[in-house]
Amino acid sequence: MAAPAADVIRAEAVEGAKVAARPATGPWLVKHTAEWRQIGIVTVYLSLLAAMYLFPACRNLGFLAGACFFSFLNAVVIHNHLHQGIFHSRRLNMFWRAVLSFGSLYPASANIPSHNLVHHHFDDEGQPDWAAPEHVSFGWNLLNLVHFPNVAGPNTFAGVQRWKAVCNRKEFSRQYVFENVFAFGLTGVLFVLDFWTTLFFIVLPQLYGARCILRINLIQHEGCDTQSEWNHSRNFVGRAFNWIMCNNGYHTIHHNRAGLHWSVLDEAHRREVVTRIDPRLDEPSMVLYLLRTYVIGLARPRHGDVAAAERGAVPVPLAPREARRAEAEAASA
Amino acid sequence: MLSRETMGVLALAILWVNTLLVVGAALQEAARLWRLRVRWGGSGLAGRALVGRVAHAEGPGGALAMHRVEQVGRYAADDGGRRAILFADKSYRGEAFAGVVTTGAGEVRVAPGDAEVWAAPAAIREATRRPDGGFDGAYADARKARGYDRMVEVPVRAGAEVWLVGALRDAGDGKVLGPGPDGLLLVSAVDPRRLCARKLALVALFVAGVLLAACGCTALALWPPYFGTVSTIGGVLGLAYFLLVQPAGTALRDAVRVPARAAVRGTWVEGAAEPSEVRPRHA
Repeated sequence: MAAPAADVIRAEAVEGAKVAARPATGPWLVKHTAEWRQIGIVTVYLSLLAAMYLFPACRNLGFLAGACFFSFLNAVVIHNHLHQGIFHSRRLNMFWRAVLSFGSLYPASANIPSHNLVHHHFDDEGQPDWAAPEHVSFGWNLLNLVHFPNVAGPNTFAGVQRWKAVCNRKEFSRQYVFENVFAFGLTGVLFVLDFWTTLFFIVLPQLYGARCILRINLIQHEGCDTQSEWNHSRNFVGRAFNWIMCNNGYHTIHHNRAGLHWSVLDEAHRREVVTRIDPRLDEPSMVLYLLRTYVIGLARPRHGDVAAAERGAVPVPLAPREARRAEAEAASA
Repeated sequence: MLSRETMGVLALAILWVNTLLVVGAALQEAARLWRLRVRWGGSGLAGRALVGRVAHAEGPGGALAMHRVEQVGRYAADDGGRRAILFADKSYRGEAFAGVVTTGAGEVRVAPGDAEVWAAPAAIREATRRPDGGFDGAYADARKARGYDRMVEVPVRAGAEVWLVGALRDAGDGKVLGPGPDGLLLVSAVDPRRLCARKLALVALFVAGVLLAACGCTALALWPPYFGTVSTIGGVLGLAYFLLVQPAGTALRDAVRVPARAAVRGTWVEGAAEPSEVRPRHA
């Protein structure tokens, strides 16, 4: 194959820079106007929890299912917020982390080592990602999906403890404690006031969301080639899905350009990813994928050499993973 | 409206599905160990594994085999405010060197090459006590982005009792042991059959404990009157059990790893002559 024209590469890089820079205008309170969608999601979620806790009439299947779904979205907001804080105010960002921690009953700051540093690079000092699909190995794939959080969760928190032990992470440790105290303290108070209502209508949705966001690691990387630069992830590209999921379906571009704001990932996906990935890693619907892979299909998906798709594509400037990790580490300090 | 009874049944169903999955994962570990025990231990070690003593070997320092753990050290501080280096394992490798092992069936030559090396816990502890150079230099490296690299080398030396598994062939001038049909040569400084049996017992204990705890929480939660004091205690314990059984499952997974892949890690605290707190998981 002929070498790519330098101007093509430059054009893509310049276009990428434009997209990255686009939301630089700062509206009131938040850094990007799109963040109001995330704030709205969390507000709806906490309102559902409050309604079920306070009003017995709201303790029905609709509210519970809604709370579980929005709990998952709360964890998506944690993911986005820990990449780029929502608010201009640093103090407000730190407090928002605590609010989000209550929503998912785990300290949101755990995402920095577990997601931003380890998962984004599929590597922990030479050892596998704490949430790598290989951590589960049931023959019936549905069991892998259900069981995955039981392994990825403890792996993550053990890894965070090791990461915290390294120096110059005192501020992280303080924030981590604050989030734990806030999340578990508030939940504990609710327990004292009404144990069973809290267990059924607060903790159950909290844990559902926390466990589902862990499962996303399996869903988005199973059968992919994590050694490749563009075929390490599965994307879900439905428009409605990505509206409510704040573009978290575009996972490849998010891994490779973690600094891009979530609101521009769809454009970046179309521009940089589509021509470089195996079409099987561009799924139109997550629901259909889940049904096909975990309900209808019994065995784990095997796609073979998915990375072949990128070998014939025009290269695009992309910093090595070590450099990207160092950048993410510096940003999290 | 969702009644408490309906939600209670749902919560117990979640607890039990999770319990059975954790048990299932533990039984997967047991199945792996059982396959190893059958393959490498057989019944009475006859036929599959050779037991003998290393007569001489040509590896570094007279080693017949070497278990290598590549580690990276990051700067940290211990509780006393002293400087410390925290080690993480990067990779595990094993190598066999040319040597002769005296067995009940005569002398056997070992072919050099890649091998699975099961070192004794004491030998791993000993190996981690030999840091390269002084603390200051290591700490300076540990502060850099690349970290302080070191290799923990655990030799199986001449004079040691060893268990060997591989393919035995007659080379004309004697017997030579090399990798088996699966490409694997095991050099173990511990009895693999007994080690697997101990780990299998640990899995059995874990499974029994987990099921017992789940039964206990369920029984208490269902204690009449439902949602009364005893039942509520059952609910509290059930939630605690749900949260704790998950790390317990991964702790078991780590505890039953074979020595060639057991975590070594460790910490080197300033002022200490040697790295400490090294706890091989198969000890």
